[in-house]
Amino acid sequence: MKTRILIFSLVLLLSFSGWAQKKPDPNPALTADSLATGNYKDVLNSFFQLTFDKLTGPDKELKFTSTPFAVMAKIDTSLLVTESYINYKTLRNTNFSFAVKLDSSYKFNGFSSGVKYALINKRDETVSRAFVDLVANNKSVQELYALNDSVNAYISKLLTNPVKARQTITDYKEFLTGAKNFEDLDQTFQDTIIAIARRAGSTRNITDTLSKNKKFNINKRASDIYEKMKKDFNNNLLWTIGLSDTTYKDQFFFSNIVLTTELLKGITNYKNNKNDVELNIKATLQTIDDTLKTGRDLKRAVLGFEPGINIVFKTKETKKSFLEFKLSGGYYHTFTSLYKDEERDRITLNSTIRIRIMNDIWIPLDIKYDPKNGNFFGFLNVRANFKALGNIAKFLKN
Amino acid sequence: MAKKKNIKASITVLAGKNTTVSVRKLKANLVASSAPTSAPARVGITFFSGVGQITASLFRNGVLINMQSISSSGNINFSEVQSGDVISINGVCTGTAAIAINRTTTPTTPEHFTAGIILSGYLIN
Repeated sequence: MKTRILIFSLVLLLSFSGWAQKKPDPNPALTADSLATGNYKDVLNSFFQLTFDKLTGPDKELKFTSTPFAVMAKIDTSLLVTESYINYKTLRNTNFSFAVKLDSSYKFNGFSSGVKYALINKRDETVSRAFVDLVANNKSVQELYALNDSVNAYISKLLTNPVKARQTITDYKEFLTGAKNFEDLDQTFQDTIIAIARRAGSTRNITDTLSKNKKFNINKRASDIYEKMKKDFNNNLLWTIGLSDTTYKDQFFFSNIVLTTELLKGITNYKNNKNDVELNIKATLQTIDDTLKTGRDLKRAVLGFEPGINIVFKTKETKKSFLEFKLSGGYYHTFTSLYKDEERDRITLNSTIRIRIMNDIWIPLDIKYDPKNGNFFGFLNVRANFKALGNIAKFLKN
Repeated sequence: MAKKKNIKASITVLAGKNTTVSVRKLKANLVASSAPTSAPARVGITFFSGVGQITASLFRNGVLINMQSISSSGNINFSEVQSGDVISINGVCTGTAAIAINRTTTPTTPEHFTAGIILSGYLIN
């Protein structure tokens, strides 16, 4: 029975992933999501996430996480048009979750729910005017703009020969879209572009590039500049606050309430590092039932503080995270009465290894080490991040 | 008349002694003047799933006639656009963007752009 439930859950997770992967990702909001780290998605999810936590532990959890905006956008595609998209920033920065707790026999062991909000989310470049200004005012981008204007001005001079003008702008368009490298253009047109670029002082650098590198692809250059700036921007601060609860299995009464705050900040510069390092600090205040006392209450309070770093290993070309290693320390303080042999203050060493086995499937393995008692605890989890917005992506493409 | 002569003299100095530049011809190039083939052109810009900024410049015979920028979905209108003019587009969008010109152009519009730097140009047919 256990095996069947486990297999069913994994198939469910994989099927969601497969569904998402069959769809193209023309929408940059979706593309940006695929570039986010697994750790980031665990802190704040942009679309949908289905997780099966603590697969090997006695207290398993099957959880669904989403944003109200993703749910609404699935129903009303017009929300993805810029004005609405910006207006719903609060809903995009909010996560809600529902979970079913299972015991070691995969029997129902309680219900859990939670809500999380990003107090500061400077990683969302899609709605950042500052990011747009940053790109538009970049020196290299200004140079591309100047070259584009100069070449278009030249084409407008060909008005006495409409056929040549049409042919020239068609060739130039193929150059702009990256379909043609510079060397693929007509030799006369190549010479003209170099001459145009040389005349203007603002295109001096690109003149040298065009003269030396005939394989120059302007679309790739523009894309590289933009992606570098976007990656730098994605190192920015993310700070969330959340509240979650768990009910008893036999009645709708809270057995646990957790107040969580989490901070994520990239601490490496993309330009100089192949892999990213993120600072991740998490603090929790948990109120749970004190089993020393009769009845059900929430009088036992535990404070947790987990500062750590997450090292992200990315693929060379697509810059997608494929392996992450998070190392953190844990300090826990119990405010109320202690159980037998329990210490008021505890310190642990925690680590999480996240392996991306498919585009949207992560396998995080949590390992905790209690240095005082020499105990190791390990939890195996499965997380599927899916968008289920294939039709919306199609809508935007058309 | 005296003013026109002064301009002509200045241009002769700039262009060199052996070059004669007609002030009338130059003036015709520098302003958006009406011609039998002139008609307004509307550049419609729509941003999806993000923000953006686009600058559209109208060039005629190598001269910048008009330049306008937009930072949200909307239209850029050029009042006098002639066959052979080129509308140069520079911009950036964090989501997707669509550009549609209500005149026959090469290449044709609407054209869609993914997130990134936008570089384009359209010849008015």
